[in-house]
Order: sequence, then C-alpha cells, then structure tokens
Amino acid sequence: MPPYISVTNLTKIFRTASGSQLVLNGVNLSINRGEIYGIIGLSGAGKSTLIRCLNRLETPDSGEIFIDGRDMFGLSEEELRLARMDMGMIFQSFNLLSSRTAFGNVAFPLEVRGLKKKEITERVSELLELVGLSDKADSYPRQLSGGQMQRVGIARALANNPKILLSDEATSSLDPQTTMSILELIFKLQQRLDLTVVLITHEMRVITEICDRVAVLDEGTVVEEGPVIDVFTNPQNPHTRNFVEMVLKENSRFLERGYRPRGKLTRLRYLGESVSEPLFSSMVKLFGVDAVILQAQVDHIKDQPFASMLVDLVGEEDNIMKSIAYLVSRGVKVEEEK
Amino acid sequence: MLLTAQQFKMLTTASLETLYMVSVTTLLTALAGIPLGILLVVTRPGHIWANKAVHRILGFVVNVTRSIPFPIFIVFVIPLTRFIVGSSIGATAVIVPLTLAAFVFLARLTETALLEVPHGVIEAAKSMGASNLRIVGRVMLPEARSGLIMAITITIITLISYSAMAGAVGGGGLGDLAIRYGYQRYQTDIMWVTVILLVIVVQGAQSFGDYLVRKCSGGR
Repeated sequence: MPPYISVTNLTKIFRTASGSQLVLNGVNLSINRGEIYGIIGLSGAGKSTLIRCLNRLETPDSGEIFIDGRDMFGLSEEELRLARMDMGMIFQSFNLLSSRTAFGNVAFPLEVRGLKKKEITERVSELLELVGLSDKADSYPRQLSGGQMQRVGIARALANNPKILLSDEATSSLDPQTTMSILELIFKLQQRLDLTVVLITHEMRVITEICDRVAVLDEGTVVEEGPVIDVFTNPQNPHTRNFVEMVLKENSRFLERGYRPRGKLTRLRYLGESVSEPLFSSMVKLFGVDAVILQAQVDHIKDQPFASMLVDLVGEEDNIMKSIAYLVSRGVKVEEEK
Repeated sequence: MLLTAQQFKMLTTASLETLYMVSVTTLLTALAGIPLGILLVVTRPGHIWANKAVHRILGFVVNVTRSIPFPIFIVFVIPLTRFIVGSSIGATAVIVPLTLAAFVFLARLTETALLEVPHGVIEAAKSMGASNLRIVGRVMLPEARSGLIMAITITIITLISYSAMAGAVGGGGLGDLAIRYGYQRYQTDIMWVTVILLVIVVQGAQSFGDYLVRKCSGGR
C-alpha cells in the first residue's frame, strides 16, 4: 500500500534581490495514515516551507506531493480549496481573527464550507467542548492566554472533520507546562478522531512526547529519518545528536567538578520494561558491587519508559564484570565511560 | 457681536453647501477609494492576488494624482467635470475634482490600514479553503476596521478643508465665505464665525470617528 502522504524530490528556491537560496533540496518523505510524524530542524532548515507545501500555501520549484493518492499539484483552484478543507492547520502565532470571539473564530471554517447558521452553532459548541473551552465562547483572543488561543486554533482546524492536521510550530510560543497540555490534547484528538498529524518543531521534547516517527531536516535535506525510539536512542547524524542532547542531559556535574572515580565509570541506558525492574538492588545483592550514581534520568519516549544513568561501579574487578553481564542480559545498554 | 439677518442667512447657506459637498464626496470617495486601496494591497507581491504590473500601474496613477496641488487639480479636470455634471461651476461641479483627489488619498490610507492585518491571519484563512473574495470581505476588512474608520475620518476632515478651495469655481461653502467676505471684504466677524464653525465641524467628525473606533475595539 502506498504511503498516505508521499513527498518526492521536493525542491524550493527562494529568490531575492540579494541572490537565491536553496530552501528545500530534494526532500523525500512518506507518512502513514494515522501516525504522528514529526519534522525537526533548526530555524532556517526549511521545515516551515516543507509543511506549507503540503497544503500548497507554498509552491515548490520541483517535486511531487501525493496525499491519499491525489496529486496536490494537479488540482484546480476550486479542487485545492476543497482539499484544504480536509487538512486542518495550526500555527505558532495562532493566527486567530482578533475581531471575532472564540466562537466566531471556530465558526469561520464552517462558514467557508457553507453550513447553515444553526448547524454552525451546534458544531462550534461541540468543538469548544472538545478542546475544553466551552466557557470561553464569547471571549476575544486578547482576553485568552496562549494555551487557550491555541485550543481555539485546534478547534478551528478540526471544524470540518479533516483527515490531516498540520502543526506549524504550534507549541513554540508556549511555556513548557502549556506545551505539554497542548501536546496531550493533540495526542488525545489524534487517537479519537483517527487523524494523521504532521508537525514541525525545533524542540526534541515535542518529538519524544507524541511522535511515532521523525525526520531531521538540515539545510533543506532530510539527514535522518525513522521511528522516534530508534533515532533517539541511536542517533547517527551530528545534528540529530544535538537534538537528542536537548532532552537527554547526560553531562555530570560531579565529574565536571573533579569527582575521582573509585571503580569503573559506566553509562547505562535502558528502555521499556526494564526501567521498572529493581535491577540495581538485585545487582548489589547478587554480586556485592556498590554503585555511586553520578547522574540519572528517567523519562519516556511517547509511551515507552526510558532511563539513562552514569554510575561509578565499585567492587572487585571480577564482580563488576559479572554485574555488567547481568545488566546486559536484562536489556540494558552498557558503555564504558572515559 | 451680533450677525445681521443677511449674514446669518449667508452662513446657513454656506454651511449647507459644505455639508452637501462633503457628504456626497465622502460617499463617492469611500465607494471608489476603499476598493482601490484593497487592490493596492492584494496585488502586492506575495499577496492573495499578486500582480506586479497592476500593482505598479495603480501605484503610479495614485502618486501622480496625489502630487497635483488641489487648486490646479480643479482646473485640470474641468473638461471631465463638464462632461459628467454638464457645468464646471457650482457645488455639484466641485464634487467631481473633490472626489477624484480624495479617493486616491483614501486608497493610500486604506492600503496602510489593510497592511496592518497580519499575514499569518490571511494565510490561516487560506489554509481553511477560503476564497480570495472571502479573505477580503470576511478577514481583511473586519480585521482592519478600526484603521478603516480612522482613514475615513481623516478623509472627511481633509475634504472639509479642500472644500474651502471650491470657491475658486463658485462652489460656495464655509471656506469660500470666509475668503470672500472675511478676507477680501474685511468682514472679520464673518471670518471668525466661519472659522469657529469649521473647527466645530472638524472636531465633531474626529470625535465621532474616535467614538466608532473605541466602540468596535471594545471588549478586545
């Protein structure tokens, strides 16, 4: 079965008076129906241009985009308008109409579709309820917080029951706590409404929180692509490693401040079930090896638990080797740290 | 200082003439100037109906019209005035040059007001499948309405002062009265009364405009 969204060899050049810049340089992507696909990159990497090509807010210089088998560049103006109604989009700056209330903003796409007033009223109430803003229907954007404005944006994007949600840095102007609540909402709605979500971001946190797969974009090219868990735990490209480090703070203050290891300095990373097992105490009991924890972090990638720690294993050489073998047998990735 | 019955009558007539010229011209100016202002915006590069040629031609015409001083402009368009009104003299005849000069002015002010609408908001409407006509009518104009009301207020005030020059072609009005009686015949009292009347009218227009702006941005 062909992918739901397929992007082939997409190229875009920005021409300005001062010269031309290759913004997208032969981008290929395939996105499956019902997944949350993240595109991460630094500003200027071309990710905004890329996502805007999907609903043709931007026209590339060459390349193809097929969505659900439809050639996005073979559409007439009218067909394009209809195709856009099947794709909701949310934005970093929310882009709400300041002259309309929350209600009026959510009503806008329904007016575009040509619904009757009564149907609009019903549907808008339903949508505001869905995003938890029923009590803010009559508030103007200026009276709402950033998170509330983005909720209105999401309700508006989903008004016409789209199959695809495009998110253009939707959480980048929000504080960390609000970011989490918006991501949770997107995830919940994606599950409930069976949406395919394409999001762009410069924050690795967003990717590890809700994405199934990720593409890393650098200077208009996809430099790494795959399931988030693989890319996160085993990054290949230096850019990807930089993004991973944004989330995974593995440097140890103890070492930086001159801690002298007494035994063997070891990095342990483990995923999934093993996180919840009492591996450490078992190790101490079984082999009589002590562990000085220098840095530790327990987190999760989407719904998978993930842990990383730096330990100084103190004990007899033989017993340390046995401990390491034991940990490896339980699925822990062990690296000797220099 | 008391006005004679004759002076009072002159002032009343002049006030009505000014009111007539300014109100009819405002209506015509808005009908022509706002659409022209919209065109100046939407034909810009990267906008919803980008068209370099149309944008340049419109911009050029607007600039040329605006660079001609109004008294010269009145004389310049006399043939056109005769063609439209049938005469080049009188309050109705003055409406032609007044409208022509004011609508390009309003077009520029409209352009400025519409450019205040963030591009992202227009893009969001586009992403929802809105047509260009809907984007203009339901997004750009409502979003810019405070700016548009201010633009129209400024235009009305400019028209009141322009209409004072209408005396040159027998247009009448308060400004004309002030010049003919107050300046040329040394009737200072008439001049003072007209000036006070003009100040009141201009103040009134500005206050009303400000009130509307406040009202439509209320709650926000």
